[in-house]
Amino acid sequence: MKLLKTLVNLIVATLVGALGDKLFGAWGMMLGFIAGGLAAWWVARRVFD
Amino acid sequence: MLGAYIVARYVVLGAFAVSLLVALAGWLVRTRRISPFGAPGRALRAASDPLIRPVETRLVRAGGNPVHAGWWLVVGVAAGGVLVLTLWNWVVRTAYGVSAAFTQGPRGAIALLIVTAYQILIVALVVRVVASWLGFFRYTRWLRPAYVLTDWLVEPIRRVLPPMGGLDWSPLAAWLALVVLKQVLLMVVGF
Repeated sequence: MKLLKTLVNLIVATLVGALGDKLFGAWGMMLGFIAGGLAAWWVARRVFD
Repeated sequence: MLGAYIVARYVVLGAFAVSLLVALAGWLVRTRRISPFGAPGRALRAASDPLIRPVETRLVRAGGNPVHAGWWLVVGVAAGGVLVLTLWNWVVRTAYGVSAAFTQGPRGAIALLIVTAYQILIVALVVRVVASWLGFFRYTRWLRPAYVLTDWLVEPIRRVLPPMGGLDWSPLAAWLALVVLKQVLLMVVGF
């Protein structure tokens, strides 16, 4: 469960980071990665727990 | 070649989107957010079951929760897609490298051999380290090649560099040693 949550977080964070990179460049990628990770963590708590 | 790679990227993205939809459909029905006995529930199950069922079987055998089979499918498709695209890239770059090396004569071929051996050893080191984080060690059958390829370097280093702070630094030291060895060998060859 913990592994699954971590992997899903990583995938969502990477996707949002790539989107941020396309839209706003390197800083967008970094912020997108962090925001995506946090959002995925929040959603995963409701979906998996 | 570039066109085919772009198509492959879209195929991977499409497969990922499909797996995401399948996981969502399976999750909605399995957690009873949509009744599995109504028409929408039956349609969702019919669409998602053929893809989720094989993952579910493996997951149950491994002691996991079958409700999460869809999300494992998403993770598997994402990891598989990244692996396929990375392999594709590697094969194309290697093919270009081989053709370039052979136009430079025997020195080029030897340099190519050195770089290829270095890349294989680095991949084996990474596999060894990541697998150890996930609880797989040398007696796992599919990990044997990674250990056989790297033991000659990692084990002597570990004997002089014991784990510090709960972390095993020998793979990192082995990687540094490989970088230095590669540069020295390339210099000897004349690159």
